[in-house]
Amino acid sequence: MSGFISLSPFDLALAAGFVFLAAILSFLLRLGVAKRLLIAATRTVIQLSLVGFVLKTVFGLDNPLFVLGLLFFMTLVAGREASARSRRRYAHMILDTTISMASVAFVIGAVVTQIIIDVKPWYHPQYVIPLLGMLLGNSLNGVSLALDTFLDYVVSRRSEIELFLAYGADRNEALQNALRAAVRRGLVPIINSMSVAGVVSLPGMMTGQILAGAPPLQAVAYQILVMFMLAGSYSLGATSVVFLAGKRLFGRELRLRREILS
Amino acid sequence: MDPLLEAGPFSFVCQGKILYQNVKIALFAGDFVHLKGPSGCGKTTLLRQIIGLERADGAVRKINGKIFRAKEISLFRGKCIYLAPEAPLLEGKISENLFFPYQFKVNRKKRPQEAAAKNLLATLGLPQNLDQDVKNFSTGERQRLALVRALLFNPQVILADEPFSGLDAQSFEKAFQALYEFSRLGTRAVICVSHQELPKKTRTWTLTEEGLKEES
Repeated sequence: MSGFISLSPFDLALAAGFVFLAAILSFLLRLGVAKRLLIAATRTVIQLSLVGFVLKTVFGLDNPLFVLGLLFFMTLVAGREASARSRRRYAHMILDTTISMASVAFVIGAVVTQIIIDVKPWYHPQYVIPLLGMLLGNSLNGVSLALDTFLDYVVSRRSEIELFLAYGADRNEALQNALRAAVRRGLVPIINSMSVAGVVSLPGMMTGQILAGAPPLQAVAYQILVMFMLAGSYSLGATSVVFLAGKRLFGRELRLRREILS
Repeated sequence: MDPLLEAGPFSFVCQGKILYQNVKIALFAGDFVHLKGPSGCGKTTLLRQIIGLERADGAVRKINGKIFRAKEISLFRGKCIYLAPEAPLLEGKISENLFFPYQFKVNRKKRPQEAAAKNLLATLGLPQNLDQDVKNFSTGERQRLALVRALLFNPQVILADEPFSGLDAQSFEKAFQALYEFSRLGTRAVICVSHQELPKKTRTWTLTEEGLKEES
């Protein structure tokens, strides 16, 4: 009973009917989102098809350089996105988010693909690319939430931090409350999704594997691995980004450098 | 004799306007300086530059002739305490507000003194129950508690930025007396920013565009 049913372009055209249904409803109820809905649907088709072709090419080439190049590109985009989501910014913030995304991808990604799953060859794109994609896409959340919380804390409770500094606190002593609040906030999404996994939601990757014909218990095993990997990447990403931000914002002179914050 | 505190030069340019330039501070043991100047002339910024909470490129800081480098700024701050005008408090008890500095690495040689704390609280008319929460403290009470924290910490220099602005006549007298006595302990000094006249002082400085003017 394993094996899986291929989707033809005709099947997808039928599925597009659902999008048209939503558009018609929007039109009838005058929600005013029909146009945006159609544009978004078109973008989905174009973007995913492009990714499909890129993946097909990279899988076909079976060359470690292309795999690494794609991972590098993904990391840069994730770093940029993590900084773009923040409400406040400071000079070179994008550098800090990219460095923390890269450290997450490198440390956690290496352990998962090379030690736990132990893929052969080491760059096996079918494993490495989707896993790193999930890693980056998720820790991006943790990084931007933590950074946002940290910057908010530093700005709104500046007088408390300066009080600590005025009595001789070093950077970590002055920022410990801010760091703690930020990392805690950054971990909320993964704690939530681990708590409800399988009860409220069937995780997307597990669903995908089951549809593709994998034995359910193996799909579950992979999903648990992914959840744990994400827990590690959320905490590593959130912690590293707030440390980098603290370092850049307070510098060696241990003062809030308001001139680089906006 | 070396000055107790030597710092500068400090300049402050705000939106293209020069508020002061090349200001150098020399404070001797026993000095109680009244720092004056109209609102917005940069008195707060000057005090914050001395302890390095505000940018001060090229400034040198010395205590008893010893230079404190950029990486020793926490050490310097532990000897030269700045009292912010808004007298920020931490959420929690009086004890947390008085004793938090002693957990910082640079202060590990100092020990919190409970008995002295209670004495000072009583002198300044504050509750002596160290477990009391500070959340309902008025501005005046916050300022007095911040003063108690600084006096108890016993640094070499206190830079007090309008420490009495929220006090009534009676508490002003007590708080002022406590701060003045600190400057008399020997090898101690105070700079006090205040818009009201001070009953006693040893020197008076006025901050102007041309720099610090000493009244004689």
